[in-house]
Amino acid sequence: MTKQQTCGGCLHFVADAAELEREVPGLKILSSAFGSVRAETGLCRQRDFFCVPEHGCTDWRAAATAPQAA
Amino acid sequence: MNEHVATKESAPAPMGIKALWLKEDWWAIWIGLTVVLLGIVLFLNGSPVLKSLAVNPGGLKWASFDQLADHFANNAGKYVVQFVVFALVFGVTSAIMGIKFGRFLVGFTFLYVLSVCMFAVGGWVNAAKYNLEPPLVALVVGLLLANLVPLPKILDDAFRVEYYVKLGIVLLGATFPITLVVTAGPVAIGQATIISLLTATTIYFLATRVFGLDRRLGAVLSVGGAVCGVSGSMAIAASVGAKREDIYTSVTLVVVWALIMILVLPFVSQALDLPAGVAGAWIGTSEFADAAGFAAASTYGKMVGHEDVSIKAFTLMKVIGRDLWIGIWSLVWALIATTQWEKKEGSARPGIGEIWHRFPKFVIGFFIASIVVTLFTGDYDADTLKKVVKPALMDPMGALRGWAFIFCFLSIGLTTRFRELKTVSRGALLAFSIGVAVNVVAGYILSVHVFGDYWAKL
Repeated sequence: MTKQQTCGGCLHFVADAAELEREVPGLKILSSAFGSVRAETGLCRQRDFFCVPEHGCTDWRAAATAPQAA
Repeated sequence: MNEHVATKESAPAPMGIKALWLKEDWWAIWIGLTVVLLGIVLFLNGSPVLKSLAVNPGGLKWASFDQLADHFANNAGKYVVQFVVFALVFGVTSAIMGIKFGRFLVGFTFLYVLSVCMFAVGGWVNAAKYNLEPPLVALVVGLLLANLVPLPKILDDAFRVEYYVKLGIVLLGATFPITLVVTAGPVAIGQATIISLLTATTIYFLATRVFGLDRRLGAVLSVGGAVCGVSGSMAIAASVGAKREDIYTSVTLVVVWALIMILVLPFVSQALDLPAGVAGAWIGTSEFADAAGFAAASTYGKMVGHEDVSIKAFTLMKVIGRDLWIGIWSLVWALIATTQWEKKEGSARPGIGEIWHRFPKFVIGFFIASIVVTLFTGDYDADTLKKVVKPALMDPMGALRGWAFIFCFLSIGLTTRFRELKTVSRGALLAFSIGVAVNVVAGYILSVHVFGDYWAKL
């Protein structure tokens, strides 16, 4: 893993708020992906768990464009 | 298994200043404080614009449809302007956050029309007699529509429960004297601390030691039940490496129990003849989601004719007391995960900044609104406050808060599709449900017996 190979720039990482709400149905019922408490937490589609952009692993794949954390 | 670590040196730039326009907490602050400051300016200039913008049929006490029709006919222009302003404010800010304006507008039009109907129901002269409190009616109507009528998906983008409730809370600050926050805050924080620690440890212990659940799920459920529902679970999800399935479990349990408590707590409080302040504090210690709690507290307040009191007690207990724990739990679980669960060299250790990072920022807006209006109204004598300031400034801001809350209550129902909730394991159900029971009973003892005199005097 190099300095650039973090979840923040990974193809598998979902941090966009609207996309995250689509990925986790029910999240917006009594919560929101647009809230401050989530901060930059995102979903790793590859491993199906939550992490933050500064995490990283050997499954890293370059995203076409870095996901925008919202 | 491949290693997955957090490395500080490889961290990309955090969201930083972009959060100011990409997070709904900040938009709730910007909009809420703009309303407060603009309201004061308009008031000083003798302008009726704020009052006009807050129009609704909620206080009409209409007895015939003719009266209701007359109200809408006489105020048609105001409603048109109101809709346009609301749609633009929510639509444009949502678009900046990433929700398409066109899609939002379609859903919001539907939500606005339904909200007008909810206010109209609440404004019926016999509404109280039949317990037709707008929050409860909005929730039930939303639930029925979401689960019995095939609503088009395009409407969903406007059902933003959290955005509306956060704005409502900031506007609530405008009618909430900061002196009350200062005097009542310590008791609320003390009670919240007891509840937070008791409920979290109960759920985590039961989940991991008694029912043998994964510790990550135990952590997610413990914070969800003790602090802030699914938002609490999401706040620690990355710290503990929660799986998607863990959040599904939290969603199902939080939603089901939150709805049960909205429908039950106001009527139990009524049966026990609890004062509005005591019931508000109890609801604040029992409900885990702000939006659901406001629905319950507002309903009970309307039932006993003291909505402001129950809302104030709820706000002190939940928003000021329990929500402050979100960042603390996030830090605690991050420390546990990195120092006890996975001791890896090079792993980034969470810092104290985590508390601020996960802090529900909209609370800041509540405090600022409270301070600004308290300072502004401090120059007026009691008589002028009651006869001039209240009807021209405070009441319209309260009515705008009512709009934000009714959008929220309807959205809770409209987003809750029971068929979409995932099934949960028996262990998770029991651990969480016992935690809820402990929460409700301990909350009752603290709100009624330990601090009862205090809450009753609010």
